[in-house]
Parts: sequence; structure tokens; C-alpha cells
Amino acid sequence: MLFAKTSRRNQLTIFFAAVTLVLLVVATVGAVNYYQFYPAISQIRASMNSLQTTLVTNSPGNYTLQVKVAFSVENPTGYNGLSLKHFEATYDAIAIFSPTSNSTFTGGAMAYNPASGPLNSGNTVGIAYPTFNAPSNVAQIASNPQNRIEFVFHLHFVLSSFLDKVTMVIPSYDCSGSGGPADCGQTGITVVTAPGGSGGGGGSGGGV
Amino acid sequence: MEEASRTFSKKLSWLVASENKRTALIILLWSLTIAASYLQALIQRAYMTLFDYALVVVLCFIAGTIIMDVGRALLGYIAAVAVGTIIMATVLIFPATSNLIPYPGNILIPSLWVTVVFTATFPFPFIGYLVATVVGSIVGERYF
Repeated sequence: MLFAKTSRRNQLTIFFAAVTLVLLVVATVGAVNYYQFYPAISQIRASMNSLQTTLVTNSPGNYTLQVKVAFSVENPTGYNGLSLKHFEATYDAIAIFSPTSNSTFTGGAMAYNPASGPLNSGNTVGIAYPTFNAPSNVAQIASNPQNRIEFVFHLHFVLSSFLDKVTMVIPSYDCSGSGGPADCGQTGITVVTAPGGSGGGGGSGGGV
Repeated sequence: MEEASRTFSKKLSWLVASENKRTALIILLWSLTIAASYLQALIQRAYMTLFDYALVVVLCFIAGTIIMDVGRALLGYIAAVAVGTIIMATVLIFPATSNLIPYPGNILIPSLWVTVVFTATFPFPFIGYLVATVVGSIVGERYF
């Protein structure tokens, strides 16, 4: 009733204040979620779910080391709005001859994996690779039971978010093991300007 | 109940008792609406849609209508945009400067936000909001 008795100008002022309040509530809710964004991208967890190696004897003295590996990426935080795209991995194989002697062999890039999916709070995306062959020299070394082969997988993927139009966030991980599951350690977060997006030059982050 | 409403209404009336107080209140609310309108859009998708721009245009028109005086409305608009931009830039950039993003990412992201805010505000949106403010103040002078 009192609202009806006030002048039109005051009514419009009250309406303006009410709209301001509504917008502030909406913006605050968004800001609370946004403030979880940067901690979330540093807490995204990658794991090596399984690593199986099989030594195949093709002929006497000729061996093939078949490797089958699967990874998963999980968002353990409360932030919603992330998704995984463009998963890529390379690997190295470390031949351990003795506690004080080892050699590293570059395995190179693994086959492109189209795995992608949402990484909302609590979500996990699985990435499974088909069986591939390790370099032949690694297989030869693995044929000696006294030697041990350890694989180091270097993962990186694009973490899609609301910032996609202006920047790409690319976390990197290293996973090592000789068989079985293992956790991966985050080695860095790279931030680059998105193709065609506004912004200055690119940049990359170092290790955390 | 009626008495309580009257008392509350009297207290609120103090805020608009003079033109200067009313203008100051409107500029404060105006800067908050500009900041909030931009924030709710940029935090969701890092760009403004036509709906978001239209919302700010309408709000500038309403603010101009309430202020009524064209000169005051213009100055109020400049002040509101300045304060609103500072608020929005602070909210957007502050968490990106933490040590969660390693160097130089923690410098790149704030500079990207500055660019995003600048391109979302200048030049055409700024001019559009200015025109809406002036039109609103002219409408306010005529009809209030």
C-alpha cells in the first residue's frame, strides 16, 4: 500500500534497487563457483588404472613387448563446469639393469585417443589405450629376467571450461610404473590463448 | 504493521531526501548492477550475449530516468561505469593472481581478463549505454 502511495520516481528507485539486489545474488552465486575454479584445475587428479606388459617371443632372439595401459581423470573438487578434451600422451621406457644403472628410451607419442567427457564434481573420465608395442630395443632388454622395465607416461589434455573462448588450460601429468595401477603427479599447468580468441601472447606454466 | 511500514518508509526516505543523496544512491546501485550484469555473464562464458548487453542498456535507461537531469546522468554514468569496471575487474582477476597457477600463467590470465572486460565494454557498448542514459534522463525530465 505504501509503495502505491509513493511517487513514481521513488517507485522506480525501489524497483531499481530490487533489480540490483537480484543481480547481485545471481552474480554472487556465480562468483562463489568461480572462486573454486583455480583451485579445482590444480586439483584435477589423473591416475593410471592399469598397466600390463606381455613379452612375446616372435622367434629365437626376437621379442615384442606388448603394453596395455588405461588412465582415468577425476575431479575431486566441488567445482562444476569442467570437461576433458584432446587427451594426448607420450611415454618413455626406463630399462633398469641394476640399482645404479639404467637407460631411458623414448617411446614417442601414443595413438590419438578420442576420449572426452564432463569433469563435474566427482566425475571420472576413463581413457583406455589399445595394446601397443614398446620399442624393439626395450623388448630385447625385457627378455632378460634380471632387467626391469619401468614406463613413464606423460599425459596432457585440454581442460575445457567457461574460459574456452579466451584461453586453453592444459594440465600435465607424469605416471610411472612397471605394472598395475599408480597415481600420476601433476607436473604443470599450461595456459595459452585460445585460437581466434581475444588476448595477448601465449604463456606456459612451469611445474608446481 | 502500518506504523512499522511508515517508520521504515521514513528511514528509507532519508536516502532520497535530496537530489544529491538520490543521485549518490543511484550511482552506487548503478555501478553494482553494471558489475553484477557483467560478472554473471563473464563468469559463465567469458563473453557477453545480446541479452546481457540489452539488460545493461535497460538498467542505464532506468537510472537515467530516475536521475532526470541530463548533466547529472552523464556524470553519474561515467562514475558508475568506472566503479563497476573496478569491481568487476577485481572480482575476476583477484583469484587468478594466487599461486595456484604457475608463472607466467598467473600473469597471462589476469591480462586476458583485462582484455575481455575492455572488449566487452568499449567502444560500442559504452556508447550504447551512454545513449540509453541520456534518453532515459530526457524521458525522466518529461514524465516525472
